[in-house]
Amino acid sequence: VNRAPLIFLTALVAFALSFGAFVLAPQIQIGRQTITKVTGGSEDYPKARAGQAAQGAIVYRANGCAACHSQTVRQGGIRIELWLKEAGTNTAQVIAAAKKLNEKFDATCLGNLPQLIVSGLEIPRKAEEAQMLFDKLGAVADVHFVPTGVDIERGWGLRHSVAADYLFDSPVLLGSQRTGPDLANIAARSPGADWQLLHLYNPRSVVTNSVMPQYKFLFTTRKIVFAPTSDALKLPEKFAAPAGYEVVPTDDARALVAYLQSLRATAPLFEAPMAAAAK
Amino acid sequence: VTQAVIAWWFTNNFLFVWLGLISIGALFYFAPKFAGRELHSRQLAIFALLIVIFFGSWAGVPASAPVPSWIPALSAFGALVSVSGVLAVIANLKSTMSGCTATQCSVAGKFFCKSLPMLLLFAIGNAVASFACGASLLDFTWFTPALKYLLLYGFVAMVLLGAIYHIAPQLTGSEYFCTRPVKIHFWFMLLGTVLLAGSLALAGVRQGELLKDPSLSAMDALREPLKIFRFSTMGDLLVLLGSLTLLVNLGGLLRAACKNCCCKSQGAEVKK
Repeated sequence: VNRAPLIFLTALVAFALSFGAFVLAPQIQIGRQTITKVTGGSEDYPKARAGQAAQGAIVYRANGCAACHSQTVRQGGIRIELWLKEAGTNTAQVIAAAKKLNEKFDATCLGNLPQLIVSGLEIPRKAEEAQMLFDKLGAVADVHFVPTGVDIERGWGLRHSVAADYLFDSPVLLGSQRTGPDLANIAARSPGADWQLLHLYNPRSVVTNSVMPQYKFLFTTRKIVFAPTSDALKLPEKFAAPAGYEVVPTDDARALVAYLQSLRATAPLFEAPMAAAAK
Repeated sequence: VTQAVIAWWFTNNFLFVWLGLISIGALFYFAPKFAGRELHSRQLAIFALLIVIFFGSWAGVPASAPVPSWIPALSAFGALVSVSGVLAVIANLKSTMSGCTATQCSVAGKFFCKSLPMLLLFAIGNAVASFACGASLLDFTWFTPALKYLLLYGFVAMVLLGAIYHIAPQLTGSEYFCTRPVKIHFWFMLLGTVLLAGSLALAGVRQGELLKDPSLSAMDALREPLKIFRFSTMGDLLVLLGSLTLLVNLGGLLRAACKNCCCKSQGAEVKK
């Protein structure tokens, strides 16, 4: 019996299913994503990278940074919190309502608002019901969604990464390995461009136990002619260039730092709700 | 991020479905030859093939991927189901070879036998790492490369090496073929792969555990598992040494074959 058509057909169906599920469907769902608005605001998200940062993405790629650094913040779950923003005039009833939600609610702290009423509600609806109750009492309560998880507790991000964060990346440099810290949100926690330059020149000059290789070839060491230039690195003594010389970043180093300073995913989005940090 | 999804999809299909199926096919070809009887079950073989091409081709997208969650969920399901395909392959081959001692002695058979547990370990590891609970520990750690080495060195390379050692002497028609270097290569390959994948997997689990503790500084959490690299480098070196024995052995075989060939043709000329 000639089974070739059957084998071909089976292979074709298997391929079509797999292709449809993992290439076509994601392309239809997230491939056509466009710029959206930040939740509760009119700001566009994400914003395209400025010229130098866009060049930096190429330097980031060329130097294989993505081999050791991921750009994905993971989130364990979400904690729903209810905050009292304004107590209104009906304080006795407001306190009673708050105590009903949380027995330990401290009535004396009404003078110091906003105050957390209850944390860890199971479903958003419960929080909304309570919010409406406070509304009826003439008070104002806010529902906060607080992302949780180790990456977030570690300070690597405020919320989990979503597809929209990478809208302007091509190729997307997600990385699969964390030999170094996650960089999805490095700009938000970075001590600044000068620190980044020092770190690239010699990571040990700013982080004593770093395992990152030095990227000295992104810098030039040159003789000081009249006086040191303003953009020369201010290296600690141990790592400084020999006397009479200075270390100056090349365009690549500047571009890479501009790129790192553009990695910021702090906007609350529909698919990644997040409360502004409590005041 | 569609690019990234397609990259995961392609990589998994190339490594597991394409290279994996070539190796499974080779095993299904050689096992009956060694055992001197038919494959235990044709249906089971077809079942395994269908599982691998239909569900194995879904695996690959990690749970941490910043994409709509149905994509990694479907992927994890594919990885889980493909374990059953792998089990079917192993059950089928074990039944085919049961009670057959010739394979244990044959050097090529050794490669085939030891490749099967590696495939099983890969499939199970892959399924565990695909699900959210496993992924929260193992994603972004050294466990991912450990799985890749387990599949490539432990299964695909082992099967293909077995095939080379089985075919090469027959192909050249040469009786000169030392089994000793083959045995050495086998042990180098086995120990090297176990050392390489095993130490990386351990490093991955340790890294995942340390990263789960937010009170630990990121640098400390990321530094510690690197110590295990000494072992994985040893494993890499053993695999390299094993490959050198293959090169020397095949070189010798080729030389002997050429000599044989030349002598024969000279002999033919003399007769004329």
